[in-house]
Amino acid sequence: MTIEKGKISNLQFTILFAAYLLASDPVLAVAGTPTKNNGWLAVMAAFVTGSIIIYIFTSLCQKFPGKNFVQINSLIYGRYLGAIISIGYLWYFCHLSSLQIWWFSAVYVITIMKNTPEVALYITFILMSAYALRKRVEVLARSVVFVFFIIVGITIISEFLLLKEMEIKNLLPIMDVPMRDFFVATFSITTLNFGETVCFVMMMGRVTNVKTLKKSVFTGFIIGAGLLLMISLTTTMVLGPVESIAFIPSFHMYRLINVGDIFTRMEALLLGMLQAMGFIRLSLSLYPAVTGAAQLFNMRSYLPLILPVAIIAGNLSYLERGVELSLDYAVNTAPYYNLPFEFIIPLLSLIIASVKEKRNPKERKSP
Amino acid sequence: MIVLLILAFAGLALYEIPQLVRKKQIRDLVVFLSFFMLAFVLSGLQIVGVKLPNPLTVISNIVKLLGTYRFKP
Repeated sequence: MTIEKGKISNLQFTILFAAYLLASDPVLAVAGTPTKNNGWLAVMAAFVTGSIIIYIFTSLCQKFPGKNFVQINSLIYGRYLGAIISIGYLWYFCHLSSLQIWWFSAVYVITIMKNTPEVALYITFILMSAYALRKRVEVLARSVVFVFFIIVGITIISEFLLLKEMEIKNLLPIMDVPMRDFFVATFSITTLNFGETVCFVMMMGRVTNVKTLKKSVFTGFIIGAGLLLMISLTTTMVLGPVESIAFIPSFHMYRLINVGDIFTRMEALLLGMLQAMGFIRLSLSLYPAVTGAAQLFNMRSYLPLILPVAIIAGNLSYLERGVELSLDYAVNTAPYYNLPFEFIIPLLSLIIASVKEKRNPKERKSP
Repeated sequence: MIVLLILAFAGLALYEIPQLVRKKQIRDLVVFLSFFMLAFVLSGLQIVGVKLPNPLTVISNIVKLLGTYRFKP
């Protein structure tokens, strides 16, 4: 029995995918640190590696239309091994949610709300996303689509307002970093910005037309990654070398906006936008954790689990606070930790599913 | 603080449990209570001031065992 009965259209799914990628913008600043002013090149390289990861888990979900990832695991690996793998993913999604709560709250605590206890911000984010999740996937999809267009609108307007601050010479010198550091940044962006879209595996079975799923996913990927690349280029052209040492480069960039001494100090706009991005990231990371847990324990509805799982994620965030550790974590640890969940297990599952399908073509049609 | 925490969790329990009992969804109730208790215990321990391990440090220490290249800013 599938835990989620709602459906979302392919267009909504495309926008959700693009929104999730665009909302990973604050992480990009950290993941691209090793490349200094060549972050945009690392984004382009990660575009290729990221698309391989996305292709693999999308192909896997397309092989099992209407099924979510927990069901796919039990079909491929059997009841017990499948359950163990699913528990691993539950931890991964719950931890991913905790990182979103921590990250987007840290932005506020570091910039303008220095005396506010972090817990107050955690509760705000948790309640906001839990409320959206309680309204089920259709409402979540509609609200994310609405928020996404606001973020894109603000981003594009700010690009125009920053035009006079941009200097192409800030992009130079190109590739003036050791190749090793460039690969580290590319690996980090691949797994943190693009690979984390693996959380859509719990939602892919609910798309109305599964046959065109790949088209929807890759359209969303191109839109989201394109917007990320645009933001990365703008940040480098406006800030130059400062970009690689700032925790939130966009915050310093928005401070520079000055239109006739009337539109100044626009960083509040950015912080509003970050709140929206936090909502998107947290809701879409929490959704697979909650639905996955409900599916694994064969519940009738996932609604009762939303707040307990969100509170567990909030507790993990509280344990994880500390900026220095997270900078090190994003570049040196997260890529290796994420790789099995984003690439190795889905690839193995895809291979096993393909072999099973060749041996017994009828099995897939009646799982 | 601990009183606030108990009140918040009591509110959550009073909202969810009667619905599950009314619908006779015993399995759902057991799973909900398990997650609910885990969330409550974790929150309680943090409020009381018990030092729990940072998951990022634990994961970092495991990844360090792989001996991969580490970027130093």
